[in-house]
Amino acid sequence: MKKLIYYLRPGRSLSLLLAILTAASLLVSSCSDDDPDVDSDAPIISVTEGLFMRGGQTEEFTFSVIAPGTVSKVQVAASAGKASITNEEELVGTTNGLARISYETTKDVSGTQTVTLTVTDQQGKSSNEPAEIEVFVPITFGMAIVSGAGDVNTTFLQGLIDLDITSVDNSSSTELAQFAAVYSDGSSLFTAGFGAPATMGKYVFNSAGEAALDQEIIVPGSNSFSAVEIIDQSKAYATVGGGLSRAVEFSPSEMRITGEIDLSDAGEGLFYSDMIVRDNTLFIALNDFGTSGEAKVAVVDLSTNTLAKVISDGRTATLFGTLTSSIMAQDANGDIYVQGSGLFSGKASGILRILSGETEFDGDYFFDLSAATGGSCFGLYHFGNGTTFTAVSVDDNNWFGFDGDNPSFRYRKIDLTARTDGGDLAASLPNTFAASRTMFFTQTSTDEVLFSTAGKDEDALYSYTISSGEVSKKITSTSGYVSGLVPVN
Amino acid sequence: MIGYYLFFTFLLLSSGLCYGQNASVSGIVHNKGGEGIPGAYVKLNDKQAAVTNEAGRFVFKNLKSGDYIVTASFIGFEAIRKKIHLNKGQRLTIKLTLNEAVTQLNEVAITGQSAVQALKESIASIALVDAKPFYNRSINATDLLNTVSGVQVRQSGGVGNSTEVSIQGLTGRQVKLFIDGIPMDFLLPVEELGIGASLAMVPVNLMDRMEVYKGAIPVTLGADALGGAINIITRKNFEDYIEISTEHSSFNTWRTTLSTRKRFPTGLTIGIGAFYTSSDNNYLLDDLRVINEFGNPETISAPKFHDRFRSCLVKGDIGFVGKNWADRLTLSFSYGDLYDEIQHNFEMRQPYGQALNLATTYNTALQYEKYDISNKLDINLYLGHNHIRTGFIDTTSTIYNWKGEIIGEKTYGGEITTSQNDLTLEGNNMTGRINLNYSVTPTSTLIFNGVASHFTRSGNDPVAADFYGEDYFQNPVYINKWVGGIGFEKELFEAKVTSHTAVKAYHYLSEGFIIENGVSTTTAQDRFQPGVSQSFKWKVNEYLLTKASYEYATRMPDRIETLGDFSAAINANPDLKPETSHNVNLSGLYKREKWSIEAGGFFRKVRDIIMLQAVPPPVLSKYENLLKASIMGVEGEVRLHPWDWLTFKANATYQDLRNRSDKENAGVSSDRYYGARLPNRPYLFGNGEVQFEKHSFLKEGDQLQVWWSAAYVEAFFRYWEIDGRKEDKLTIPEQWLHHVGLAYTDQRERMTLSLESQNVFNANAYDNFRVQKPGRSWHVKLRLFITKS
Repeated sequence: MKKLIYYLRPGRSLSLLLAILTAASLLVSSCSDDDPDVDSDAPIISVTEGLFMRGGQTEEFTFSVIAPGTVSKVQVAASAGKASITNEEELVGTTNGLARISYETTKDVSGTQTVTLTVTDQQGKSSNEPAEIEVFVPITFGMAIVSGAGDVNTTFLQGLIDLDITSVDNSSSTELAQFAAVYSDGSSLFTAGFGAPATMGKYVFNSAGEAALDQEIIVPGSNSFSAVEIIDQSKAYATVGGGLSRAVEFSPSEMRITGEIDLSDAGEGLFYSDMIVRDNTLFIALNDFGTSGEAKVAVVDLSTNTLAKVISDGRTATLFGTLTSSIMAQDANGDIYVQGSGLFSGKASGILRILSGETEFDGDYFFDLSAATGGSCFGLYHFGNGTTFTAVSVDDNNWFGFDGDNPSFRYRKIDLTARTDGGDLAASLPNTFAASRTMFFTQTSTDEVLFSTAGKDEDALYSYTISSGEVSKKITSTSGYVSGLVPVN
Repeated sequence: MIGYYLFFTFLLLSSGLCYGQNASVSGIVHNKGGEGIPGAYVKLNDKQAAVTNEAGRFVFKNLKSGDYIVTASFIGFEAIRKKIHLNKGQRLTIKLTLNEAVTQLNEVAITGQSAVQALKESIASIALVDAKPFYNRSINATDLLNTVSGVQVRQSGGVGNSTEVSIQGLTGRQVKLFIDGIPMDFLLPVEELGIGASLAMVPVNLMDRMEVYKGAIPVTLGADALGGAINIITRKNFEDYIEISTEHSSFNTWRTTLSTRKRFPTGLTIGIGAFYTSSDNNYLLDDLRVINEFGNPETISAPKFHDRFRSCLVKGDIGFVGKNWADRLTLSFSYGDLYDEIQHNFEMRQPYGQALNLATTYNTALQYEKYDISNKLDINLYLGHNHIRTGFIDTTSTIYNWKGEIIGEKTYGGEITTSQNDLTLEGNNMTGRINLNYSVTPTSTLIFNGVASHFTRSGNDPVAADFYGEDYFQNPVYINKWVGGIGFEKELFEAKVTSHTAVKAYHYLSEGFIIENGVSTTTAQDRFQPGVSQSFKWKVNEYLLTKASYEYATRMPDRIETLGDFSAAINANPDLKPETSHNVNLSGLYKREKWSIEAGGFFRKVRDIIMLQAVPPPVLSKYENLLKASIMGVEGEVRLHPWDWLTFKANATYQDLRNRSDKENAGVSSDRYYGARLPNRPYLFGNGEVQFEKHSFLKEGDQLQVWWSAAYVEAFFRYWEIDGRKEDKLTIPEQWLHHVGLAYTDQRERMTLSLESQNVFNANAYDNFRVQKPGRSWHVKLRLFITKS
């Protein structure tokens, strides 16, 4: 017989306690249920509940094993994937211990899976215990597709394991009740819907890979969220459009409004097209639909959440942007570029600059896009080293896509430093409905930028290789145009 | 298209050549004073029946020679029988004089049913709702329409709320409403406030019936109806009477009507009708979201707090009936007023606390009717002037939550619009209509109908002008419309078959303004569009009646679609094409004494459907020609009246609405939606009712009615069925609504007291965009009816 002190060692004492508790509960259970199938002499196995993991990964967990005699054999089986016992040799011959399981799944395994441990003791009596593990589809991207025809269309959300696919549809997508743009804090998917009241949704992907609403933030009295800038999982900013001159600060992880920024001194009736945070300053593009004939940007001091000033420049006007598009960009130097369309004002499309450390427009810099490209322009995306894009209208009468048969924008490569037009992003690219349907560029790897097209004959995501400048079709959407693609985890 | 015209021109001409030498009998039913009795029921050998027109005249055509017995009856008069003999080809004219009886009010129902039945057996693809049996009930016009097979009425709330009427799959502006043959939008603020508010200004107790035209629209309804028409015939009792009804129901709803008429021996007639409706519409809404301090929604239930509705109308007419120079000449006046609070946006996501609509209408009309001029010609003339003043008030920046609490102030703008509005629009409409019926032969009739209208509108909005820097609403808008139609109706094969051929023409000339870059410029549209129709009726035997019709129908872009609506941020689109549709209807009615069954099928092929291409304001949206669609459907109705005390009726409609647009029309990049079911439209629905009647319930001659009715709508998808994960798509759920009621009428039939519960099981009721409708409501109604007798 082992000495008492052996059982009082920390690890052993826990095992002893567990054994006593388990035996006691088994005794109570057997007394109350009087189940003839339960053999009180058989090994006892227990496992923690609430296990979960991502598909395609390997997860380790333990079963607690107690055998009245000694363990002679342990086996493990999984409903899908591969399970193995990593300490089988250590466990055999003992009366109790932890069976360490390594459970490996492939990317296509999802949902509730079962890993069953079977323990046989020296008397040949065996028990088994299943462990339920929620295996999540390893979603890495959240995608929004706008589907529908005529005047009935809406946004559909889905998760993608990776981007190694050639086509996508909405058959497994979650239907939203309104048109929405998507954003990410790196973990979850956020939607900003169009339509009163301004509503932002936080979506998480369940184990089946389906986007499920987790929580919402609503700003009553405003018609819509108009721009969202997520800094990290604890801080983000969003502007609302229509009725309220306001930006809100919120926590993406908690989905709570944590502060407000009063923008009423910037003017009434403005649409906040885009925003960008640099250091402790928030720059908000103000769209007055051409009434002032100037480009205006609100400068907000984030240390006090107050509007510091509004800067304006008459060289272009109408900072027109949509929920899904960007008209502000920041380069490696910290210089901010702001793209004005000139719509409704008679002004040229152009790009203004706010130098790093400054909060005024750079009077020495103006990129006259209309002169350079020969048309009015929409959008601004910058990925460093001269990789900058905009879209140029070839038919200003169809800016807003009323003629659904004739998309009128072509993507253009431009050089912000040289202030020159680089021509068509690719001659083979079809025209796209940039201002009325979708326009976004997103960097998915160090050398790849994906961008959307909504065309007359096809909706697709194209790939731009930064190092070579090559453009190729990446994913075709058969269910509508892709309005957003964000990383999630 | 030319082929169509040639074909129908051939039909028109050829059918006119089929002249038959059959006899006819026509005449007048009048009282001892010689005044014609409208609505009298006339039977020929108990095989054929007719109802006298407003001059008391009737006609039976295409008769063989021989002996006949003609009987005539009417409320308050003793029935009369008369033997006649007809020779081959003879056109016999007779007079039937009715003597006043003591009390025969029971014949109200008989006469009413007969009038409805006579219309139902006409060549038109028509469904009729006789309003008279509903005078005792707590029912409104939209509820009444919903009982018709093939018709769906979708409402966004309670009394006066937004309403959309669908007939055999076509909906909204594609369905035209008329009052006594005059387009309703000439008389009531249909375009400004919608059908819901306008129908709330036409109470059931002031109606005679509703005629629902599902197939080819008769030329007598001079309008560009693409998918059916509803003609509300107002009450025109010609006996002396006074009727008062008042109803009180849940949600503090009151409905009171007064209707009276006096007819003098000289033929002078004076009538007054009036109503007052009000409702707080404060029924309970579920799943409302109030927002906490962190911006997160919390779900509550709360009553509506800003949805009160009030409307009233006073109408009077004076004129002569039954004169040699006019069967009817009346001058009428009406004044209507409406107050309508707006509770929420169209998806019921944003509550409002102060926004409202107002409307005032003034109508003046002169109507002249003369029938059987030289036994050949009927003339019906109408000349009217209508003034409609509407107001839209959205001047507060206060933000309300669903509890009715003020939770903040907007920085700018109103509850609904960016600019705030205090908008008044003044519309004036002059309408002239001429309707001629000419009996070419005893078996053929030529019909001409022409409607011309001139509409002008301007307005002012000082609040919006402050925002925009200019009052765009002061820009005048005018629309001239002319709709003409010629129809030829011919009875063939001893009146077993009737053919009706019609050609129509629509001309539309409008001028308004378009806003571009903040500058207003004038825009105009001038459109002409033809239309044709062909209908057949085949009375197979005494019990079976079949009908078939085809129409190439047109709907011209309306004022808002073509000229825009600046208050709704909609810009003009003068390039819009008319919507067109090929409409085919087939139906059969088998009617026995105690039961009848009616079944029909319909097909629609619609193109250039006009839809709003919405873009975020303040960029102005536009209407565009977008989809093509096909609709196939079947509908049926069964009526049983096995015993005097029991009536049962039920109908059901299945309609399959499919998109037939290729990508060019649908605003998408593929043909993915070709053949897909159109979303957000009910496709399976029905109604049923059982009514028990017990005569001499408490006293000799009194009557007790008990009824139960149910309405069913199958669940349907809000967005396209083919999109998204099927398990959790957004749907308008299946709905079963039940109503029960009872009414007691005293032995002199002068007073009826009714009690009713609508949605008695308090089921969730939804319609457009899942906007909730009222739950269970209780109604009590008292109706007093006094006649000279």
